[in-house]
Amino acid sequence: MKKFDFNINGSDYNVHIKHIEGDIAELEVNGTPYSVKMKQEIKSTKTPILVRKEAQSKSGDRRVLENMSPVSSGAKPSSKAIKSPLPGSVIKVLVSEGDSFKEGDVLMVMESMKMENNILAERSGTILKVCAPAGKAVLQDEVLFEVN
Amino acid sequence: MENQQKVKNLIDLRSQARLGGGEKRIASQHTKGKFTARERIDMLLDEGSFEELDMFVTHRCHNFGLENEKYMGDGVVTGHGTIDGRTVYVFAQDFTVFGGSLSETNALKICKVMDMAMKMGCPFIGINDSGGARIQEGVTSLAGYAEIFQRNIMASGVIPQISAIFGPCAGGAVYSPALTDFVLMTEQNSYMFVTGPKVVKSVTGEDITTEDLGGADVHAGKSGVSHFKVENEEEGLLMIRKLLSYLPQNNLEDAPLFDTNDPIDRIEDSLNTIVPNSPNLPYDMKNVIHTIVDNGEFLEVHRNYARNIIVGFARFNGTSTGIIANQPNFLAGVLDCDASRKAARFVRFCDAFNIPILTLVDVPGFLPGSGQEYSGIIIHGAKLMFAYGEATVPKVTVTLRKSYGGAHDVMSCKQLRGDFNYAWPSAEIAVMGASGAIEVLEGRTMSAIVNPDEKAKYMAEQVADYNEKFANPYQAAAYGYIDDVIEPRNTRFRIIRAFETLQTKKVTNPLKKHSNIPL
Repeated sequence: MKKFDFNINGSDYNVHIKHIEGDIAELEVNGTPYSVKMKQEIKSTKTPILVRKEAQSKSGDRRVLENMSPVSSGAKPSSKAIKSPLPGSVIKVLVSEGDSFKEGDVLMVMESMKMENNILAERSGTILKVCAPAGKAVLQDEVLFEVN
Repeated sequence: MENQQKVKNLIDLRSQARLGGGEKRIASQHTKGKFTARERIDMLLDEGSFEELDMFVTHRCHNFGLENEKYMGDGVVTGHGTIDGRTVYVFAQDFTVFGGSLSETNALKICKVMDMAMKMGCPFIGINDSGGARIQEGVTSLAGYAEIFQRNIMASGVIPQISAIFGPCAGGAVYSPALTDFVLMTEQNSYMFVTGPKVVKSVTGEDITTEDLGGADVHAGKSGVSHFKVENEEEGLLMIRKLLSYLPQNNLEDAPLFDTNDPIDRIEDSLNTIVPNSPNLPYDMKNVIHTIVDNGEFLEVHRNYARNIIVGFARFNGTSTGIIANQPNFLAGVLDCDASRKAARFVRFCDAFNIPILTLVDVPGFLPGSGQEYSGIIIHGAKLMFAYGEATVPKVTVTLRKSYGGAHDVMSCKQLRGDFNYAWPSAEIAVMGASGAIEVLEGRTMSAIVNPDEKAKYMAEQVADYNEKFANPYQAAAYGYIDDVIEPRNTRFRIIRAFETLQTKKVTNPLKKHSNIPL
């Protein structure tokens, strides 16, 4: 954080302030750690400090490419489709017909815009049909899976 | 009447006014998990700072027996107070009085504080919880809405305007929030739509719930109407406080400077390895943002909408900065219609309020396809380009990896008056990707080769050659389009230094009535 060099009565003091919280300062003087209570009013404010929330998806650092919407107005209301969010080609399909999946599961890896993208499940369900096998080129909004 | 008695009367009247629609209605508001207008204002503002105005206003309607039913304040609480010591003007609709419906007098109260906010150059915050227009009043209520809209429009770009939606907001009422800079919705209880489920059902036959038609998820994720989705009202009100800490009071001031303990020359070795070796692999741009900003604090705007681009506020050496960054982790970080619109509006907000802009680039290009073309990607992409080119605030750009084609130009390139354009050594700045380019450039030679193996070999050679020549930052740097190629771990320091030297930047656009941004 902040460093100060003092010379008091001919001796050198290197003070390194490491952390201040409320009226307590953690600091080092010539390498020796001290905890110092400061005489100052603690200013409290309602305005929060932002702390990063962990990413919501469980699949580690590669994530979220999904899109769910009804197949068409004519289809059975219970049947839903997972559609391709981007035009591209399917690299591999990680589920097969009848498999059940949970929210956040990776269902497919596809290449689009020269990047690998994971198709994740937006919610839990079962695969009714795999519409796009590996190697298939798909357009945007083309149905990849029919799910219930 | 003795003066003593008069004072006592005043106190009685005040406490009566504070009850709004009565204890029973307050209790019903609480059982819905909602707070009353005054409770919300107290949570929002610094303790004891609220000064209420127009507490004794009552409506003037003489239809449908309304003349016998009057409540002091007429369904809206207005006034001013402070947030972290800085004055703001607020209104909060009181659902306990006629369902918070908007009357002529109710609108006059809101207009009064809006006018004062403009006069004093202070942010304006509206807390919406209203059933809509007060039907008994007829057209005067409509006129009331329009008076508010006109003031929203005039205040746009002069003072920050923030709308919180903590209840219903339907019909014409939605347009006031829509005209403001930021809209915030609670997960439960809040909804916005132009026509409700009943009308939708009778006109189109579509059966849809209130939640699915205009809930917080819809507007924060699909429509982009709402910039923030919060779990509850308290979180929402604190979010407004946080948001305001990044904003100036008005367009003539700078955002407040914060004392920071985060060293400006912090070296982050993790950044040297954050970009994967394979150009096909994604990574999380948010890791980069959180690493380089002060204390890892980043207030993301539109977190759930068009996630292929990230926008939000952070600080560098205590100075508020708007960040726009492509997100390779979502849709490969492409620019599509929604992402372009989202970023364009954010850039314009920052420019209007003197907030410097940092752009982090890793964009493979615009999203191809008929879907995008039919939706007008040309117009939407042009919005972002227009916003960047028009902005006169300090603009620093760092290209982390891909920056291809038109998307390179759009993402705050040097020629759109970028002040400092840096690149990491992993940057690839070119007109198009290697294989596409080779197919065009070497098409004739390639078609002459009959043997498929030989063809593939030739192609691979050409691609490698192209990548060597173009998939790097040095060609752009050779022309001065990139000011410097920087070591990733020094990014924070280089950004802070750049913004430091840009503090005295002065650029003005030609005088005109206004520009004609491709809307």
